Amino acid sequence: MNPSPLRWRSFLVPKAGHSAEECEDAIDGDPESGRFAVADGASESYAAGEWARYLVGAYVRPPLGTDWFAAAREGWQQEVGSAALSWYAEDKLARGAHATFLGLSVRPARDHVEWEAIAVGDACLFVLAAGAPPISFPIARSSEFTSAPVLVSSRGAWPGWRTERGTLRPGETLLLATDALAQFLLKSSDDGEFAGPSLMGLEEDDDFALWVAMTRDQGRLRNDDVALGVVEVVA
Amino acid sequence: MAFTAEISRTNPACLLFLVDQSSSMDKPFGGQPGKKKSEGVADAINRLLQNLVLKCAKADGVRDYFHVGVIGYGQKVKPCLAGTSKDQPLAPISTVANSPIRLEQRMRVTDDGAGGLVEQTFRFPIWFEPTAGGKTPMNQAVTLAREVAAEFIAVYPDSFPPLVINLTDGQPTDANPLAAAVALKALKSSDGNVLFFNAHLSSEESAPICFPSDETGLADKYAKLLFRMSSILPPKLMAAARDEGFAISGPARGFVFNGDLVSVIRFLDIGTRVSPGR
Repeated sequence: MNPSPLRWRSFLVPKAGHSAEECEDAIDGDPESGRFAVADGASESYAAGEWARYLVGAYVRPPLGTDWFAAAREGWQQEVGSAALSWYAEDKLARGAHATFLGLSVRPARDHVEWEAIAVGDACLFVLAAGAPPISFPIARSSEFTSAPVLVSSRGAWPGWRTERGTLRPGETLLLATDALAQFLLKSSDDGEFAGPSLMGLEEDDDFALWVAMTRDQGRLRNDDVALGVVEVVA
Repeated sequence: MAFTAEISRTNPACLLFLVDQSSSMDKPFGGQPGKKKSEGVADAINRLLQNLVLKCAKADGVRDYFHVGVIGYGQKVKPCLAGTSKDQPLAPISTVANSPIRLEQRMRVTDDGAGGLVEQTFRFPIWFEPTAGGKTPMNQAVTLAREVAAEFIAVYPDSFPPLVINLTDGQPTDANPLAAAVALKALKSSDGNVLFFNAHLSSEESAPICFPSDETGLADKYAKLLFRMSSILPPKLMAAARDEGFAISGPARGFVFNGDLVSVIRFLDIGTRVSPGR
């Protein structure tokens, strides 16, 4: 088998004032299968971090013989169970958990790669191709972020995915980001100084955490959980 | 920019409800035929508290994003939420969550996840039973609210400003509370002035009015007084109200006539909101 033409790294930093266990963003990727995902559990819903982790896990490593989304819902349901004792836990559990989601699938072709993304809400994919301005999906402008994005629920109606696809060549990059970072990146692009390339230079978790803390202190990054994934096409 | 302070466990927000318990609340409620105004108010305060608890409930418990109090005014003017007292008029929302006086089985219709609808039973918490007795010392209640809000701001000077919500049939008997309302709204944290919203429950059977920007359509002098006492919605709350489909034009105020203020709880920003139907 040829080595994967993709190089993957990811970072996750909780909201300031929250512990790592309270982080409700989730991110994962598998360069071998070419599947990557990021999700952001809604602060106001119950066991939302767990839902984000099941969505991401089931998309990146889909179980054999079943639909990955059904598997994510089943996994969440099994984990939270029906053990809610208080009136409020019972009520919140019945309403399900909610999250934004972005899934990315990348397939090698002859001298390039083909990618396809699905999304609900405001977790974004940034396409950084040589000689072209950055493109983001599904949100294109920094002004489009609100505190009530479209969400995918562990129960109830399914909002339907938005999809996008394209091709990339070696040396080009895809970034996955949850809302606070995506909004920051789009704002930097609006201001004519796209910050994507400088983030791609970060290799260590500590470097990314320091960058997040400093950028929050400067008031340029909203205090929220932050997830970043970097997919580089290397060969 | 004002009204943008993050609401968190280390920087909680104060929510204070003023509840009219006077004898006139025993009369019919125009907003829900067959109900008394006192029942309308009890239902409203119970739903407000239920929504607030649900907003803060996570798998690991109820997070204390809010400190909450209820001041009843009728025969007496006093804090009347379980776990609060004259000396300690506010309780963390986690305490409120665990201290309803009883739970009632109710039914609701919900999405079944496969494109259909299904009936679901749920437990509805009751903190307040309908009460109607005595006069309407609204001026005293608003004056007490100012003391409670001032004490909260002294402890949390950088908090999202205290939000005071008054539920009443609108006929004060002690004094015109307008000056007390102006004094209440003059208090401020570093994030902005205290917000004072009013819900007017009337015996008149007319269509609800939510977040009006002028008083011309209001029925009587009491509705107009409550409108004038009410704060203009800060931009973020106004945007949230628009997102939920309220027709907002001009300087909309935190005032409803025979309407529902529960939506205001949803407008408070503690992170990603889950809008109705999602």
